[in-house]
Formats: sequence, structure tokens, C-alpha cells
Amino acid sequence: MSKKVITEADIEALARDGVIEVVRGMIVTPLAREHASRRGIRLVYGGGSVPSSEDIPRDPVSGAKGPVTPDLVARVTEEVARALSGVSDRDARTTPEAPQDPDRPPLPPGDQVPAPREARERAVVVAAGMNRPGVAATLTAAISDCGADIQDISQTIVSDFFTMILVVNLDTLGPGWSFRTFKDRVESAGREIGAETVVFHEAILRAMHRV
Amino acid sequence: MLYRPDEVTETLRMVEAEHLDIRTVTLGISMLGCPSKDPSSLEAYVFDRVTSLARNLSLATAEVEDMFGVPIVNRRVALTPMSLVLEGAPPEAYPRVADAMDRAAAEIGVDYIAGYSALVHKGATPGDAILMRSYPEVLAATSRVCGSVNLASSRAGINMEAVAVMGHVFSEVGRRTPNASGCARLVVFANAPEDNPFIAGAMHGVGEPEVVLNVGVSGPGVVLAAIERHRRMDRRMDFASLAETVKRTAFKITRAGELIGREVVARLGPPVQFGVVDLSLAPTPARGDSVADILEAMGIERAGAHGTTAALYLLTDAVKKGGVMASSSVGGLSGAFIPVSEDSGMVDAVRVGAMTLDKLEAMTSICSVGLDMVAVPGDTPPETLAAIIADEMAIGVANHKTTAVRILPVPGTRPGDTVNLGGLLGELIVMEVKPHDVSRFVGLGGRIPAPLTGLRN
Repeated sequence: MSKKVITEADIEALARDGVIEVVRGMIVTPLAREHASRRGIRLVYGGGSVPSSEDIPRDPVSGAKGPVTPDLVARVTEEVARALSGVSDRDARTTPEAPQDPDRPPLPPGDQVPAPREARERAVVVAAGMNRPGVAATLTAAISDCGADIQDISQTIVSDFFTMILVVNLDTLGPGWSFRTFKDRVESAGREIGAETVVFHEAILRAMHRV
Repeated sequence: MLYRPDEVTETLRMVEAEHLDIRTVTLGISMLGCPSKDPSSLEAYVFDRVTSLARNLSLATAEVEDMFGVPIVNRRVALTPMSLVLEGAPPEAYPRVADAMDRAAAEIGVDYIAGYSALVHKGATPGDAILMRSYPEVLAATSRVCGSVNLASSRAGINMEAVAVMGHVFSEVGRRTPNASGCARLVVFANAPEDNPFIAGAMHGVGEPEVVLNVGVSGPGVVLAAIERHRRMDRRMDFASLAETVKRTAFKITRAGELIGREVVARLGPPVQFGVVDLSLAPTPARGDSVADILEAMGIERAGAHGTTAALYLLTDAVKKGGVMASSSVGGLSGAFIPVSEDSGMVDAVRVGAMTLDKLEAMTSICSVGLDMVAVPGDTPPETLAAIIADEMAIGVANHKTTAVRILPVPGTRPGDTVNLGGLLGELIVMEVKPHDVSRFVGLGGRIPAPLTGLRN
């Protein structure tokens, strides 16, 4: 199977709406990856293999999506687990456990497609204040209003004082929302119910606490 | 769990309570492409080039500040040393170009623009001489222009003729600007780095690419808090664990600095490239944001007491080691700054007599810069100022390190007087200078040869 090498010069030409779908047989050079990230172009890996909600056939009468078969659930779960563990579709195929593609020898190190995690935007929401009913509900409602998806919550309550830390995926932000407007919305929602709320980008935590 | 709560709260605490900030993002712009030596075209070229390339600097930094919650205190611009651009131009072009720099900085909303500079460590060209002698006029007429002169290097030795000239220049600038404040925008160097983002010594060196963004990270308050926490929690604090604490903290600060710098670069887009992180501990007059306080937290009653140089060595070395592990793009000055006026702990130490000019000089053999923001009486002879500069240059040249002098001879003051410069520049206590005559030595002329260790080939 022939492979196509994507260089820095190809990035702009291949981008559709700021996204390049990287499919099997494409090799993206490190310089091209850097260039894409500089130009704000996202690389989406394993294009087509992740079932999207649009793949689910709709019921012709009610318009509802369905049926959700056990097979579909299993496929989605597998993809999500793989994404979360930071192993790309292609890495998974080259691990010893996975069946080897006979005409695709394992890639030398350094030529691996990076995990999809690279493209993910996350925010961290920290709220602190006197505990009262509705704090968590207000914050999570504000987050879901923006279309963001909560990935992790931790909460501590000492006597009447609470601290809540939420890690939120921003890739699903609704149309018209940006990091800035999300931050404003969630911070003001927190303050309205008396919780000091700070929203910042996850990258700063990753930089300071993960090597 | 993606992040432990203590990791999240540590980052928050650093920003909210311990003054973690990015002290400066400095856009370095090459001016070597200037096509003309005609004063009007030079003026237009400098103004247009700075305003077009740095137009979005304030907006981009504000966005990144918002994104990570870490304040970016200053945005600055550094240009190719102007003596190189102006060589061959008529003398009247020099103040006009400085004025264009001043106007461009105001236009794009940066408080300082640096690069009205010359490199004369081995000798001065006619253009270098015009530029050095124009400082009194230029610094009095502008409010944002900063200048620097490299007087010495470990390869070339010390250009003593230029040192003598700069003694007179500091004296004259002191007379012509209120409270000698113009001298805060003028610095002389030995071994000046080409990528230093910090004012007043910032410049865009000739080995740099076209447009480059350098980041100066800070955080004396964060290091101080880490040491104090360590002392509270571990009663058996020894020097190794102290160094380890500083190293870990410097690592985190540097990682944050590089992330923020790269994000600003991404927003500015080509042709801007990321340059270096300068991991200098740069104090501010704010309480708790002080390098002197760190030395005192190590167990020295007052900065300047015996033992201060050793404590400063431990601090500077650990900062460098932590920073170098965190980023492959470390440059600039990278160490601990000890500007007297900008550090409330240093001002206190001078006030009680613990810190003297001599002790400061000893500390400059260890710290990242030199005699920085030091006030002396306005009637100090220019030859004595030149001799102070020469001492500092000798420390730099012999130790292959950067040293600098930024000295303010404040007219009408006596040792012990207080001079308030306001804002980031802070408050100064006038220091005592030795009264003995050194003019015969300073006036010998020529160059002090380079050290044997400069011949490394």
C-alpha cells in the first residue's frame, strides 16, 4: 500500500474548515504538525473509523435515532477508551496484541502519529465558597449551556466550606461559544451564587505538573 | 482523576497569592533591512516597521492572559542596536529616530522600547560615538526609549575609552532628567546577551531571526513561598533540600513561561518566531515579590549581611538548573536580578545599612546582572562613575558572565536620602561612594586586554 507524506506545504491545501482528516496511509511530518498547530488547523486522526451520531439510522416515522445496538455501544466504548488512554487508532494496530497488517510493518519510533489528545481543548473550573444547595447544579448547568462536556469532578467539603474542581472538554462547545465567552459565563454563574470561581485553560496545569 | 486537587490549587495559589506572573513578553524586530540613511526615511521606516509588526502584541497577550489566568505584566519591543542601522547617517538622524521609536511605542501601547544601543567592546565607530553622546538629549526628550552599550567582552577586553565616555553620559543624563530617572533607561554591559527580553538592556542581536518573541518569567514571590512552606513542614531543612525546593519551583515557572510565550507567538502568526525563556527572578516593589526576602528566608537576617553572596549563589544556581530542565529554549540573562530600587527588601537592607555598594558589587559576581538601579549622589565625579563601571566590567569579563551597570547620580542628594521614582521603578536610597580620586587611572586610555581564558580556540 502506498503512503502519502504530508509536508508543511500541503497543510493549507488539505485543510477543510480548519480541519485535516488524517486517514490510513498518511504520514504527517513533525514540521507539518507544528505548522498546522501554528495556523490553528486541527488534525483529526483515524478519520471515518469513529462512528458519529450521524451514522445511526433514523426511524423514518418519528425521526428519532436508533436502534442503539450492543454492537454499536461496544464500538463506541472501545474508541473512547482508546482515545482516553492516549493510544491512537494506528498505535493500537501496531501493538503486539493487535493483529498485524501483513503489508504494514511497525513504524520506526518518531514516525508515529501522535495521540488525538494533542488536539483536545480542556478547561479547568475551580469554585470555592460557603456550601449551599445548588452550587454544583448551577455550575454544571452553566457548563452544559455552553455545550461543554464535564470530564472530571472532584469536590471537598470541610465544615461549611467547599472546593470544587471540574475538568471540562471544550471541543464540544456550541456554535458561537469561545473560551472567552465560556469563561465569562461560568465565572459569573459561580459568583452569582456566592462561589469564587476561576476558569483557566488546562494547558497551564499540564505544563506545570506533567512532564 | 486528571489532576489532583493539590496540583490545581498550587497553580491557583501561585497566581493569586504569590505574584506568579510573566514579567515581560518582548518582541525583537530586526531593523537591518532599512534601505536609506536619509533622516526622514529612517524615521518613517522605524515607525512603520515597529507599528506594523507589533500592532497585535497587546491584544494577543491580553487573550493569552485570559486563557491561562497568568498576568503578563509588560509588553515590550526590542530593536537591532540602532548604531548598526544609523552608521553613516547624519548626526541629526539619531534623535529623530529615537523620537520615532518613542512615538511607535506609544502608538502600539508598550511602555518601553529598547535598542537605542551600540556595541563598542573593542572600539567605537564614528556612528557609535555619535549615538553614545546623544543619550542625554535623547533620554531627556523621550519617555519610552531605552538604550544600552556593550563596553566589554571576555573576547575583546574592556574598552576603557568608552567606559570613560559613559561615566560622563550617566552624569549628564542624571542632570537633565528629573531625579536622574533617565538613567533608569540606560545600561552598560559586559558580555551583553543578544536575546535579553528585560528592559533597559533588551536588544535584538545581529544573530537573531527577523522577528522573535522572548519571554521573561518571574516569580520571586513563588520561590519565597515555597521556601517558607518547606521550612514550616520540614524542620530538617538543609542546603540540598533548599536547592531542590528552588529547582522544582523554577521548573514549574519556566514551563508556564514557555507555554505562554508559544501561545502568544501562535496568535501573532508568521513571521514571529519563539525565541527564549529568560528565567530571571525579577522582583517588583510589591511586598513579598523580592529577591532579598528569599535570601532572608534562607536564614540571613538582612540581605547584605555576611553570607549573602553564598545564599545568592545557591539561589541563582538552583533557578538555572530547574529552568534548564524545563525548557530547551533558555536564554537571556537567566538568574536572579538584584535591582535595588525595584526590590522592597533590598531598599530596606540599604536603609538599615546592611547593603552597601561594595557588597552589591560582590553579589554581581554571582547574580545575573550587576549594579542595577543604584542611586549615588549627583556630585559624584564622572570619572568615579566610570571607575564603578570598569570594576563591574572586569567582573563580567574575567568570569565569562554578563554584568551591567544602571546607576542614577541624583542631583542634590546625599547618601541616605530617599528618591521616589514611582511605579515599577520604586524607591531608591542614595548610596555612599568612596571619595578618593581615580581620574588618572580612568583616563589612561585604550583597552584593558582580554583575559587568557578568552583565548579558547
